[in-house]
Amino acid sequence: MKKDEKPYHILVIEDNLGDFVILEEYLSESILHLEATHAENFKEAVELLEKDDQVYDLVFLDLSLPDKSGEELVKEITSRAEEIPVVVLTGFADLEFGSRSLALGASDYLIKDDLSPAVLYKSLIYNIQRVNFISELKDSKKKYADLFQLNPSPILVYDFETLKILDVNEASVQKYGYSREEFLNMDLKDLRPKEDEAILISAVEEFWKKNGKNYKKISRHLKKNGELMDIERSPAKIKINNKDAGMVLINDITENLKYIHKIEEQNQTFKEIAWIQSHVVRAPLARLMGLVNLLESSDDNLNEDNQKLIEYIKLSAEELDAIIRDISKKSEGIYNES
Amino acid sequence: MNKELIIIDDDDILLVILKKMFLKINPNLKISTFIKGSDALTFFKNSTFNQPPTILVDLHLKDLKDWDFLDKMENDERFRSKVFIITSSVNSENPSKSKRYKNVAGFFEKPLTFDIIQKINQLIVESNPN
Repeated sequence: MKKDEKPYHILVIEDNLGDFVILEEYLSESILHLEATHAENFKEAVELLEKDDQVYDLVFLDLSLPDKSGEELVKEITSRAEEIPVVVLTGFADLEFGSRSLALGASDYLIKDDLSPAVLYKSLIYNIQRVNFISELKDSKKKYADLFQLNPSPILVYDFETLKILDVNEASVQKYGYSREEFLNMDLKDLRPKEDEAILISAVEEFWKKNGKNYKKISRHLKKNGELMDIERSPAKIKINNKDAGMVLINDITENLKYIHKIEEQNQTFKEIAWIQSHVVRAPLARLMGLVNLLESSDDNLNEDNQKLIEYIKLSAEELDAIIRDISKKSEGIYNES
Repeated sequence: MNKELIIIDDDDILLVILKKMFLKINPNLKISTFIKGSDALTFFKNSTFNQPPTILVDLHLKDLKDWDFLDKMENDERFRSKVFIITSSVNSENPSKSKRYKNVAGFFEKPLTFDIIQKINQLIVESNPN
């Protein structure tokens, strides 16, 4: 059989030197680069495990050591061998305890009298992989929990039937002012102003009836201090303990809406100015120009000086007219865009 | 028979100006002026004309906004007058809208120059009784 070429570093906690030698020999049959560190008692094992520069792939633990044994020994070792699989070695007499050790944190147990190179190697590989897998699972679980918990937008999870709030993230606590515990005693209705309750019920129904993809709605939510927020809700359907739940991402758009309203108001004022410009200001000017027309055609003979003055009035009026037309043209462009 | 012209504009000074200008071009015109659109409408209802008078009307009357005057006149079957719209506004969408009304014969921005008055007078004089 081809040997495993990966290097392994194991810790064997075993007071019987003979057993240690056999174990090392057996494993060496399958593993090319095996480094086996030997601890003869609990005290030595603890020292070795607490050294920071030593990283073990796996720990073999004999159940009876001169200075500690049984349940207490398993607990002490597994708590120190964080993320390292601990395989308990037990005799026939302790068979029952072997299986109990799994509950105490051991990864596996082997019966000493049954040891063979194949069994040992298989146990070593299996338990190393299992621990790797578990720690990967933990990492990814934490990653997803962080996505929820550390998300900068408030996220609420609620029970579809009762509308009770099941979970909130930190951003929700910051935004609404309720503590997590307060949230968990509330339902979605408590976040709405009284008069919006009917809207909420129909909105929830609508969302659950439709397969609400890209469903986004604007509504109002109350903070704990009574302040009203304009919010945009992006809900999604999830399952929690096999029950339908909604997960809603909240976007506070109060400031954005205020800003838009302000611009709309200003735009309205601007339109009014444009109208005044186009209609009202120009009326007296048109009158003025009409009067100049009449004066020019007057039958009375005006002297040259006065004719010149009328000419100047006319020029000034025309200049003003050109300005008004220019402004009107510009404001028309804005009219048409809005 | 003297041709008739009705001018409706809520700017009383402008009424004086226009009346003077028209009479300068054509002293034979019979001109009535109205500041209120409603007064002009009443005048129309209560008068009989040998031939339909020509109308010069401002778009923005205080009592009849925008196209109200034309809308009201359009509904009257007897209404066969030529209408010239005058406006002090320089809002370019107005002329195209005036084409919806079959009586509208022209659209002019104020001030009306003697050239324009001359043109309008020409149309009034040439119009035949029908």
